[in-house]
Amino acid sequence: MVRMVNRVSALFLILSLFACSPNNLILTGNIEVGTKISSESRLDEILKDIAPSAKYALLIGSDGTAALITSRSFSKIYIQKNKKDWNSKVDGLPAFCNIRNLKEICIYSKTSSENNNFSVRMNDFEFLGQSSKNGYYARKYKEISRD
Amino acid sequence: MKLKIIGIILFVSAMLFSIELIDADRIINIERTKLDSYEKVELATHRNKDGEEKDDNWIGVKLTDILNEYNISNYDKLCFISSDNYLVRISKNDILNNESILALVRNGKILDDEHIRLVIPGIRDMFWIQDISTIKTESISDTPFPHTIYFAESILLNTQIRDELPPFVNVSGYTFLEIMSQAFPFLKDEILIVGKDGVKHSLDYDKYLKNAVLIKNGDSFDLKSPDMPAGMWIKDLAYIQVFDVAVIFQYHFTSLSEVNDLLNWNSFPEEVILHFEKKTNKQNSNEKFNIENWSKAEWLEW
Repeated sequence: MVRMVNRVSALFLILSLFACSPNNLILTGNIEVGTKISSESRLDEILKDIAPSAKYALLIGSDGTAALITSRSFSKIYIQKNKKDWNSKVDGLPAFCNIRNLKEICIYSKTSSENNNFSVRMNDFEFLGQSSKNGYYARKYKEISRD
Repeated sequence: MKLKIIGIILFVSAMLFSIELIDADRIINIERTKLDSYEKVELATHRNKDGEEKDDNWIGVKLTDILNEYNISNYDKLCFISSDNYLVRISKNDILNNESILALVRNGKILDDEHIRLVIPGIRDMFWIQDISTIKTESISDTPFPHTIYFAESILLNTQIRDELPPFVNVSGYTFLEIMSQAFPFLKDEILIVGKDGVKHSLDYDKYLKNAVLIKNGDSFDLKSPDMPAGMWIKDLAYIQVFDVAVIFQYHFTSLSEVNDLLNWNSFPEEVILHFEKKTNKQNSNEKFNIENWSKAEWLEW
């Protein structure tokens, strides 16, 4: 019994190590669990195969700052890697969409099931304000501290 | 003993009273004693309230004196919120070009804390909010054309009308949630609601609109919510926008251009794509809604 518990614990440890891999940026929300980004590209190109019907994306920084953007803006945002960190760099969108040290991108997709993980994740965030630039809307959020 | 207790209660309530002045990241609490310390101005107003002529004499402090003391000048609007969540927005122009005061005395009678009132002679008295708990500076962000617009009529057609909409009685209509959830993927945070008469409110969904209802009023709908003071209810609801998605009550407009006149979008596409049950069609944005395609479309995008 003890051996069994040890094996399960070891398995969880290995899985969590993979999940925390600093080289990949995790995608969450209404998308297949465990989806990650491993290479730099424009957001529309990244999502065209893994979430073709994505309508919104919440870019979440390690400091809890987040920006909600619409699919119309996906082509205006470049997800780039700087050593171990992932950053978003925008072209023609409100400046707060430039997020350093991204920890997650949460996707809202129309075709997802009634299990709306995006809306659940959104509840972790406090709305700070809405802005627009060049006809593109964006909303700024801050992750609610769990302390 | 009784008098002592009343004295203590009055003292404590005076200590508890303060108006929260929020400017970007700064929060300043202004207590009654602070308000009393400003130079006083006197002004007279004449208005017609429900058919009754009213003349008042007010003594108060200039709003600009308060703003100047805290170096608050970088704003487009001031948002005033009362303790019961009544909310009004006044433009910087209206603040600066009128004699805007926080009135402390009305017709010789000192006003209780909860009756301290914004008085701006140049604008309608429905904006003269009292029991002010918060004054917040706001900047206007440009409002582009929404990415997606639904026509309310096609949503209502597919939704069963209700004869009971508690707490409102003898009314029929729909809940805000059941109508809007068909257009918006997630109802959250700030929502813009606009009446045919141009009255606009940007309201937090959870605080004001979660329990709102659309009450049928002839061919039109009024928006009411038990969480909103009655003065904020919207008569002849014409437009709702959440983030990049809007719902238009087509009945109130003859064309998208007329909606633009009300919303003042800073961009307006020449063409839009109309979506029907099984097909889509490119259409000129300036056409009238009575053209067949427009009257049958369910939603549009550009």
